[in-house]
Amino acid sequence: MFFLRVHILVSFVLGLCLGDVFSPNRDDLDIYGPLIAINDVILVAVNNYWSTILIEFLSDMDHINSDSDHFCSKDFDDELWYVYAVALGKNQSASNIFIVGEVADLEMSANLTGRTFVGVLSYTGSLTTINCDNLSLQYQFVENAFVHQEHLIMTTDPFGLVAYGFSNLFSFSYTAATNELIVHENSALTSELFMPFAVDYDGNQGIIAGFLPVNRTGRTYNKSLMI
Amino acid sequence: MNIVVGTMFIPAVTLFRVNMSTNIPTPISQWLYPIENVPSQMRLKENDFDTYEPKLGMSVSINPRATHALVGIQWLNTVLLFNYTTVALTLVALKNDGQETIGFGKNVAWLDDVTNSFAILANKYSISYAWISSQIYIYDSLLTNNSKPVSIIPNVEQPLLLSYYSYILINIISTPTSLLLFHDDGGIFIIYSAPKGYYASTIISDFPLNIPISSHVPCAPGTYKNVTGIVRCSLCPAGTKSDGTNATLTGCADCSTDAFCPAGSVTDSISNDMLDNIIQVVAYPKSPDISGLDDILFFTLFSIGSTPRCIVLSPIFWTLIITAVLLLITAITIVIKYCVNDSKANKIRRTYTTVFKRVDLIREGDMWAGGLATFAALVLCIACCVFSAKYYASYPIETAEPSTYTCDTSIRNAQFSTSLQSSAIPVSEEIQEMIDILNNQVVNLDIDFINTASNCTSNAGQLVFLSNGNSMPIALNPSCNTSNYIISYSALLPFREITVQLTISNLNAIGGLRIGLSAPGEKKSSTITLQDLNFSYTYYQTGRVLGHDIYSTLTLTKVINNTSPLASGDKEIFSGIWAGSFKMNYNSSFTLQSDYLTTAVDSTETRLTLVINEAPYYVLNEQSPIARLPEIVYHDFLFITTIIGMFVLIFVIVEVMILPCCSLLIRKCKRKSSDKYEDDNISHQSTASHSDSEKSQRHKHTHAPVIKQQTYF
Repeated sequence: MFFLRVHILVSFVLGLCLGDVFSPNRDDLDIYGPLIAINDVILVAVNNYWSTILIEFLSDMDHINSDSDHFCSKDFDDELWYVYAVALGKNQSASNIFIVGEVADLEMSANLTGRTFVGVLSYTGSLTTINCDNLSLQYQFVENAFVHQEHLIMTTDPFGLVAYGFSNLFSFSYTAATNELIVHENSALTSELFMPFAVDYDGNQGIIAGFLPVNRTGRTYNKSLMI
Repeated sequence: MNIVVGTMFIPAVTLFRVNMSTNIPTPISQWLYPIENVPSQMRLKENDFDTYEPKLGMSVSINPRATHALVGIQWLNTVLLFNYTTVALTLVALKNDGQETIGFGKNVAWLDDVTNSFAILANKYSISYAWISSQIYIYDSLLTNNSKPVSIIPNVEQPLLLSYYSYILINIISTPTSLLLFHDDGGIFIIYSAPKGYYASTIISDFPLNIPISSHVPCAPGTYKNVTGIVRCSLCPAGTKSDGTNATLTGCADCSTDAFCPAGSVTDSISNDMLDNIIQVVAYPKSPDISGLDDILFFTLFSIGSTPRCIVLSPIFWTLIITAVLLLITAITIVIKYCVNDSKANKIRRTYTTVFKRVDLIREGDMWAGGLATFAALVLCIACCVFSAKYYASYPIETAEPSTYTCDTSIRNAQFSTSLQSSAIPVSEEIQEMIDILNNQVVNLDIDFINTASNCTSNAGQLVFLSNGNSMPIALNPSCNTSNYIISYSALLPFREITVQLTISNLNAIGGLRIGLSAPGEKKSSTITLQDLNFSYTYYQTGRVLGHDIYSTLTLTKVINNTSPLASGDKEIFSGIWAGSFKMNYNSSFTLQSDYLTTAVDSTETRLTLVINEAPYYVLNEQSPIARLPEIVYHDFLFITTIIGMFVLIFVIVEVMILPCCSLLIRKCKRKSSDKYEDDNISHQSTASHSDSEKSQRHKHTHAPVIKQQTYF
């Protein structure tokens, strides 16, 4: 914790000198994407304040109230991580938990690589006898250089195989099995002016909701989004 | 990219597909929120997105089976339903929850892909995003522009864990059958789908080690649930019941006829007759239209009426009967005199006529027919005396029996007046004493909750009265009785003008409410009596169930009866009682069956507030006799003489007018007969004209005495 405080202090000083740094309120659970997800197997919650991911296996309802045998937690690899959103496949049989986030304390206006990360927390053990050691976290950073993303959302297919993310500058797809992250810059779905806020995906098609600029007549500026 | 001045941001919903080979999402269709539907104060500019604003948060939930998507836009208090295909995105419904607040649609979640049920997190925030409330609306079918939720969480069966968590819900996620609630402090609760006959109760006895979850609880008596899901149990419709003893039942049983069986009924053992209000006061009668004793005697004695009973009780009817008998006797007497030569019969006739002459009051002993008429007059006179005696005794109305002695059973020797008197005006000493006694009467408050599974063991009530904004206990545990699905509370009130609150812990539906006051009476003296108090009023609505916050007013009015004495010199008699007038706003105190599930009440208490006040006036009923004894004797005497005079008048009219006319007619008839005889014999008796004339004169003379003799029969 000492090093974290020193780091935050240094980042704050750097921010004053260089510009605003990304310093989210880690107590506020109502900002950015959903920090909780559930399906019939897993309940997962991200705690940015404690830099940890909390997992409750729901395979046996009777055990939920009685003991902590079905509870696991996994710390972030870096305390500077700030997770924007977590996603689970609705009907998944594999227990893949996707996370997307950004490293804090970086200058927001700077085009930096390694700012945004996408990862998956996979459980490969038995669902009846939970062994938290079978949890493994793998992730990738967005290697392209981007400024801070204030609007970054993510969803996954019903089986939790691939995660899809959207910001106003890029979109990505992240395959859990291969730990492969593909970033699509200037895709037809992204626009500097389109502010994505929510997304859901049924495995073939998906819906993104956000805010789009229009002129006084209601026409959009972004031709790529004018269907 | 810079955008021009005047640009605004509107919600946009984009349908995309993913190329499976490249994993690249590409747009298919886009829908833009109509710019004209965005209120001017809600229009967003570019700088509104410089930092993430939670108030602009949106939510999307897809139902892949039905290819429907719900989109929540809390900034515009709107939820949209889309249908999507491989090529198009179509808006199906737009549900807006008003413009006063934001937060409706903060999150959306499908609960069942088949039945299309879904949940909406309907928070309320001010425009500046200050939290007001959090509710979850449950819908059981596809959203329409006018959809109403079938259930709202929190409710009495599914309260939120506010003692552990923050009041503020920020997220709901479905599995999809179960629903996860996420509070802004990180609190989590899982509402698991409950089978038919059970509901998912969020009431937990202790805080669980890890994650609190709902439990399956059988539907409460008076409710049922015939679907699987997180919705609460529905009220049994009016006319059906459920006593809750068989949790496997997924419906309600029909009630028997004539039973009090409103929505949410537990039993049909309470008949509608048991709901009758107990009213101790009745409207004071009006004074009779005829209040003069002469008029009353006349109309009573000389009217017959139309019903058999009235005919039998009519004095004039019996007088006519006697008259008919007398006419028969008269006819027999005439027949005996002129047609029967039996001396014995004539002797009897003469004896009768002698006797009737003796009793002749009409012609003062001159005519035996007058004696007969005397009997008819006697019938009327006796009827007059009997009626007067009974009429005199028919006072006051409180003690008088129905007037079965005459056609009109409501006839009383009493006249009435009712008036409202201001309490501010000084009154007589006697009335003031009566008022003081009424004011000092200590009353008992009786409250019944009808047709409910609640009982005294689990529903200890607390009765307080409100004083200067504070709650002062009347009885921490008012006496409680449970019988036949009626739970009764009773307590002595410290004073009468009071605002009381009865609070009971209650999770069960309540069909009706009965409120009453009771107090023993007191006979202060022989002339002043305080009546027993025991009135009640029952509130119920067939299609509604009693709400959790009931407000009723009871206005008490003094009613004082002042009865004047029948005999001169006696004292006036006073009696007093409180009359209650209840008032309740049924719309606010009773919940519609359709609104029961959507009433977001998380209180497990039922609170009745009763305001008892006193009217600033009192009702003074005054009763006095129409006729006292001397008046009745005097008027009877006058009436009897009138009856006799009437008969005399009849006889005089007969003698002076009718009989002479009859005599004249008979003479004329005789003369015509004689003239004809003379014409036939004129040729044979032409010389005997003088002697015939004499005969004729003699005939006239012989006829005249006969007619005269008939006149005096």
